[in-house]
Amino acid sequence: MRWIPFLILVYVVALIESSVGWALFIDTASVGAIGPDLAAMVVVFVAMYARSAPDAMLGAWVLGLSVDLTSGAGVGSVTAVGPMSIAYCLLAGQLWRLRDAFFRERALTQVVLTFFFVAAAHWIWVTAQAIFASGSVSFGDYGRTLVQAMGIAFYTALLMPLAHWGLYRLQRVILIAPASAGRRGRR
Amino acid sequence: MRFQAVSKRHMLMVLVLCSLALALAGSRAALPLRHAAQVILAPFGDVPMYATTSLTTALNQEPAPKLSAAEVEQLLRENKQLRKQSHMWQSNCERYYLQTLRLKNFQRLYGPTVDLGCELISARVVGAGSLPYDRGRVLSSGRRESVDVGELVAVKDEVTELDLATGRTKALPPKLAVVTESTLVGRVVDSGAFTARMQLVTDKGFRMKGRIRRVISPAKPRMITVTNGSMPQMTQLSSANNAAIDVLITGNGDGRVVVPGVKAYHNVLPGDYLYASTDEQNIPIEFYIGKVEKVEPSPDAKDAHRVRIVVRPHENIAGVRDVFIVSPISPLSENRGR
Repeated sequence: MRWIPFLILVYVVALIESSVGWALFIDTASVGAIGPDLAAMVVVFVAMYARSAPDAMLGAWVLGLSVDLTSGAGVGSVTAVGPMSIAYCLLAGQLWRLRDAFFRERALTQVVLTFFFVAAAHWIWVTAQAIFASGSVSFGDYGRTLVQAMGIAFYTALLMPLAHWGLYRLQRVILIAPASAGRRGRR
Repeated sequence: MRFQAVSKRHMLMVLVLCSLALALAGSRAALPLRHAAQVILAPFGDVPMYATTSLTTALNQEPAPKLSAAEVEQLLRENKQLRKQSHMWQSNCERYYLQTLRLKNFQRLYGPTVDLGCELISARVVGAGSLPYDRGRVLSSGRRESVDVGELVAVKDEVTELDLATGRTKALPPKLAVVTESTLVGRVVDSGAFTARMQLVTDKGFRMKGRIRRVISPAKPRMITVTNGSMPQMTQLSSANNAAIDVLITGNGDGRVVVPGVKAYHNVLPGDYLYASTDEQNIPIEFYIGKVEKVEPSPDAKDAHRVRIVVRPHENIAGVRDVFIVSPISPLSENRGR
């Protein structure tokens, strides 16, 4: 992993997600707004292409933290910081292990993996926030938010091939560090 | 290489444990961390947010209905006549304004010192929540002091006229602090240095006391039930019996404000106005919120005599960008009592 370009990417993703990404939201009267989880797309991409599991998990943790820090409310009054970084981190580790069983270049694979990844991450996040909200969230609200989470997962999955196309072009910048001249010199 | 892999795993464990500790700490840890993140994101959030609000404003504009040639002709004629009237009123207005200014100057010279009870803190929308679970937006208040929770956010275009009052320290009697054509778009739910978070009026979690003011139209007279002594009786709505209806307002999460449980005998109709009530904390005057769009039966079957009112906000909530945070300088209850 090239951490400095990656951290810049995280910043840009957080910025886009908290400003331009808002234009992609679809408002529904029944379950509320549904929008793409852009950070999750990057996590899925990193998990599919990172060289090692710790790299994928560290990258996922950073992206999860950025989501935690930029989403102030949702389930309960004020949401806790931390559940999304844990969810992304653990799920990215699992995805890294499973990736060899799939053809990751195929759009269908990307859509399916993203859907399950986002659905699982948001299920963990919503459940954790409902628990931390301690009594202020009814079962109805919890159920409605889970339906919203599934909507978000579906929306994110649909956009994943596009994100993959863009991130694949940035792969060399953020993921693969070419052998440095210093090492060659030492040899 | 082996050492590096092990150390990364250790780092990962430490980070996950940190996340767990932060999650368990709840809002005590979340609020300062989020404020720090907002400060980091705010400088670069302005431009993308400008693009977003401009785009959403353009997309949310409803197309005007198509008109026939005769209707266009009639509209042009009416517009011409209205323009003439407008010029006339404008010149009258200017004359009265000058007179008022002269009187005000006279009052200022010889009358008691007066000031406005609210400070309008200029703010701009610089970001939104990254996940769609909330519809709050981050405001850059442009000053170091944090904004009190519950302070109101009103649209700049509507309140700019009272800019002169900003920064004054003494409270005014309420009758002098009237703001016309103001729109309430939300309220601050939490804040820190330079940034604050506001909850939009259309948010599902938004709760506020409001007042519905019915429009009296001679062309469309309406009947309401009035209790005279112990006997309720039907009577025509007039300025004598057109009292404001106190209601509880909330958002529907879909760009509309909802007023549930309004008694049907008030006979609220589309076109009536909704205001924020001054009974609410930190509301110095009745801020206009929007116009009644729909009146539908209460979804609760037990409440057959009540209706649910859907209000279209006056301001395009999606395109809100420049706002003022209304910060009372003195306790509003004291002002109201005067």
